[in-house]
Amino acid sequence: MPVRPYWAARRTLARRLRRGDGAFWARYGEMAASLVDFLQTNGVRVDGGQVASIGCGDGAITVGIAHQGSPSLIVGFDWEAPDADRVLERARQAGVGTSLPPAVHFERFESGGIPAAEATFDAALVALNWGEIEQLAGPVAGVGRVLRPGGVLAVMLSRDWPARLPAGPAGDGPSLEAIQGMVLAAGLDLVAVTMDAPVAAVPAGQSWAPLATLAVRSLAILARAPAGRAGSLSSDEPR
Amino acid sequence: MSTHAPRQAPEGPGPLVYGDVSTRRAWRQGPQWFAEHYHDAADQVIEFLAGDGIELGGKRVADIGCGDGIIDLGLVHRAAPHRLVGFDLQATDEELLLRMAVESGAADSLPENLEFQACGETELPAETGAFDVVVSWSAFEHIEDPISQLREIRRVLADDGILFIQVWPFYDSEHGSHLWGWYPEGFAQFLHSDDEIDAKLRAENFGDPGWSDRMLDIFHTLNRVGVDALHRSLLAAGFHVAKAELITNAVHIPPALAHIPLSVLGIGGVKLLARPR
Repeated sequence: MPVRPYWAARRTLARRLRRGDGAFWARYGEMAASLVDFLQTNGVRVDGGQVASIGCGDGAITVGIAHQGSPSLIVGFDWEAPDADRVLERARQAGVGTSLPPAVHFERFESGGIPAAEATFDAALVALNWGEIEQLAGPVAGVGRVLRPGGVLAVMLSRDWPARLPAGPAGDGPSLEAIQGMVLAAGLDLVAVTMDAPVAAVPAGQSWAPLATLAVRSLAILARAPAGRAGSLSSDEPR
Repeated sequence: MSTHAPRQAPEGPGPLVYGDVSTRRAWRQGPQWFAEHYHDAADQVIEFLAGDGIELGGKRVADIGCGDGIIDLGLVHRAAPHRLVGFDLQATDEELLLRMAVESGAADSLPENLEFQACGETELPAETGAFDVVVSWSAFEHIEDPISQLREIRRVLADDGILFIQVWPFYDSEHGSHLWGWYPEGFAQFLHSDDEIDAKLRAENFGDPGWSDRMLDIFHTLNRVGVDALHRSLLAAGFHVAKAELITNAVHIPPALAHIPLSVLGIGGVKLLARPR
């Protein structure tokens, strides 16, 4: 398999994790909290529910969601299953736990998709650096299958994650519409979108680039599986 | 019409003759509207430019689509330009502006370096290169032919000049219809037919049939320009965008609108700084 930028970025991240420079906190704290907050803002709670953490990387975000969202089950999926011992070691060093929450499990994608039965999860959560989402297009396309009717997909992308790593270049990665297409192609209904777009200097060499892609630094999308029957997540929203 | 002599506040409350929609809004919403524009909007313009080391002090400034002129008064008081000319299709009601300024305690006369002129849809009564800075606040969504207007702005702007544009809301965004008084849930332009909208506004006119008629006229004449179309218009008119801040907020998407691009649904407006190429 050819080496792709995605894997190069992962290796860089792994090196920084080994150096203990705070990337654990970026994923365990900031990214997980952003996901849980975004869900709650939209009237969705994951406590007691069954959650898929898609593109969990080193697993820190999965542990963070488990601590902050209190699901009954959370499975972290990625192309390579995280090393649970290493995640626990990092959690111990960070002082956030001496054992992994029993709700946490890790698995690797199989055949380009999520190895789970139909209608397994109440929620699928994705939080990534913007440019990484393209590498998860296959698994995201299968989210509609593993979500229960009425279950939700939350996708949060940022060009500034993880903290302390260099920000992704402006306009890098898929367009807003490409990401929207991934969600719709999974058979889900869009529910809400939030963007963050601080003041952005437009590089002289990119004066032609669409502002909508160039200036948006982070994006959160909430989508819902069509409700043939009610899901088990508590929700303030009509299903 | 415009004069360099200080203009004094008219005596007594006298009947008001309503002009453009911003003047009407100003009268309807009173001190809040004045403060939002005299303080908040003017400060945003000044701060956005200051972020790039650009000051209006001593500069020749034009405001395109100045409406009631409140922002221009705020800019003149705060930034002390050499001259500020507000342009709009209908010349600003200076008497009303002064009255609002007096009632708000902002001024007891209009400054000598503030003037207002009527302009055409795509013609500005000004010499080539007459201005160092051109600003426009919440006006471009009303302009029928943005490229031609931007080309005219380019003509009156000095070659080393600066263009600041704020647009909110873009037509396709949540409140792009401008009818939030009737449709606070948003996206009325997609979820209701023109006939339904006309009927609702005429039935619910808040005691002011003229207000409903004016807002319907606004709604039916809004352009469909979004952030990327505005950007392309700027490029076509000889500008390049140097800085942009998208105006976004959390948006709930009605199921019927899932096919509309996120960049259209989720970006309500923009503030940008452009320079001639």
